Amino acid sequence: MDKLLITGGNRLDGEVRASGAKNAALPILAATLMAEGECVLSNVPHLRDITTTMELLGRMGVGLTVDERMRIRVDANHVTQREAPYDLVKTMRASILVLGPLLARFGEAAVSLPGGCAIGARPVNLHIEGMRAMGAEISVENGYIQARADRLRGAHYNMDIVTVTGTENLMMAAALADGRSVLENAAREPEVVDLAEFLNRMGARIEGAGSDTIVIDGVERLTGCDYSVLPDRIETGTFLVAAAMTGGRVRVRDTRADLLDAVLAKLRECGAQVDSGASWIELDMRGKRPRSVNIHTAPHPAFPTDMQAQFCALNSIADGTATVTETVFENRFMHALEMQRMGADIRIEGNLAICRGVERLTAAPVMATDLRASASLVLAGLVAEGETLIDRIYHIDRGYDNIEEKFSALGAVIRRVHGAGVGG
Amino acid sequence: MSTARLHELGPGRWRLEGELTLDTVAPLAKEGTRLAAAGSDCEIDLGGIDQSSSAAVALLLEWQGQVRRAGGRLLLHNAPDALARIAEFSNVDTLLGLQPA
Repeated sequence: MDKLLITGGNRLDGEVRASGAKNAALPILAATLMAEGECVLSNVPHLRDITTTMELLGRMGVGLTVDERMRIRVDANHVTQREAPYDLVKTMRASILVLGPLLARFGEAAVSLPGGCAIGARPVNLHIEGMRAMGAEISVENGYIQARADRLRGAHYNMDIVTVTGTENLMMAAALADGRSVLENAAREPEVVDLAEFLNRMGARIEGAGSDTIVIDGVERLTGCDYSVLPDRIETGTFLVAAAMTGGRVRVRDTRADLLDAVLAKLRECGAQVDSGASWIELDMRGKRPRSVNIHTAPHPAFPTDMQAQFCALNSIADGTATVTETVFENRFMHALEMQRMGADIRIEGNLAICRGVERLTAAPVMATDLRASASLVLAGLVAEGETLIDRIYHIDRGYDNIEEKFSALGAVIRRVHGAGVGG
Repeated sequence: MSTARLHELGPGRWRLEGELTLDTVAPLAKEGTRLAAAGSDCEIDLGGIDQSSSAAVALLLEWQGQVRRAGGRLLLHNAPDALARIAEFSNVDTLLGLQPA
């Protein structure tokens, strides 16, 4: 397994380009199943989950090519298999997102249940119940969701909990349903909005994405289109936190400040100078030590859970003591235990992490346990005294495109150590 | 659109030229038979490729398999950066020896 070796102590300075958002690209790729005609997707990040999704679609009979401009051309006019098999779904939970498109366009789908997740329970029952409300016949047999419908019918559906993939799956299903659907308590994340805009570009009629009520008037068919995926706000935020932790100055280009309001507010609160333009954000810490900031995660537009680990890293070396409250996932503090190995003073009490900032961290071999935890360990390594070796970085490769190259360009001393064996 | 072509430069030495897209690579797949005929290593100069795509990557993988089964290795040189990036995106850059510069 590959590892990352980081020598801490360098102040970051420079410019980096934000990649496209994985969590926008994945549902958009799934949605291409619904198009009668070619879709051309640009700004798609180079990540394992993207290639896994492409493999999944390819097995269904979808034609996919990558052109010189790294755009993905998708032709879903010859879909022959309507199944998402276990061997792929078990490596990527987001495979569930093909359920709505397959059912909506082809009237049938067999999707493996995703199973457990390292950071907490993420049941798919809302996906199932929502599609049943639209008239689908769904059974769970031998680990597979088996779904059939002559044509889905519009439905008014209230989701008990806010779920991003649930909102996306039901929105896609409703796009080709007969009649109007209303999704209440919908997720409001920018990635949901991006999917809605993509679907509308294909000819769907969706209003209200970004609010907690989404109205979808089903259409008979969807056509191909060209579309550029949203910038990755979490990657953007990670680089900005890195600048704050190292006392440096980093500009992230090809991104949007409005995607990160809650995060930028916290970065300003920690003492950073944060400026932005139409397509860039710059953070300048001016050599200062950050102040600790209290964090409370919740669905968008509140502070994103996907930035919680990074701010635990920031608070670990910040001036003061702060609390980090995690309300979205029940087991998302595994990074704290690893950071303790580096000298961080973090005490966990249920869903609360109490972080008392220390003057410096010391390097140690640590192990990544999930995507965002691995990012926080990279951040900790950037400020730790000595060489930090992070194992199991296949986690970080799932969500960060060329992370070592991007940090190196900013002045970090970081390199990949190739190992034998197969990562997850 | 220029047609893709495989030229033989000498024993075990070849040059691939033209636009390698989904529409142009299919006829080239059978050229693997020529590459594999000698049962030894083949070198292909990729410097003449005008346009790359993942279809080109798939073609090279197909040829690599055919040459390997015949007992040789496929050695690729002068790959355009775009082709190397597409191979990296597809996670086969190391397999083909096409790491981007």
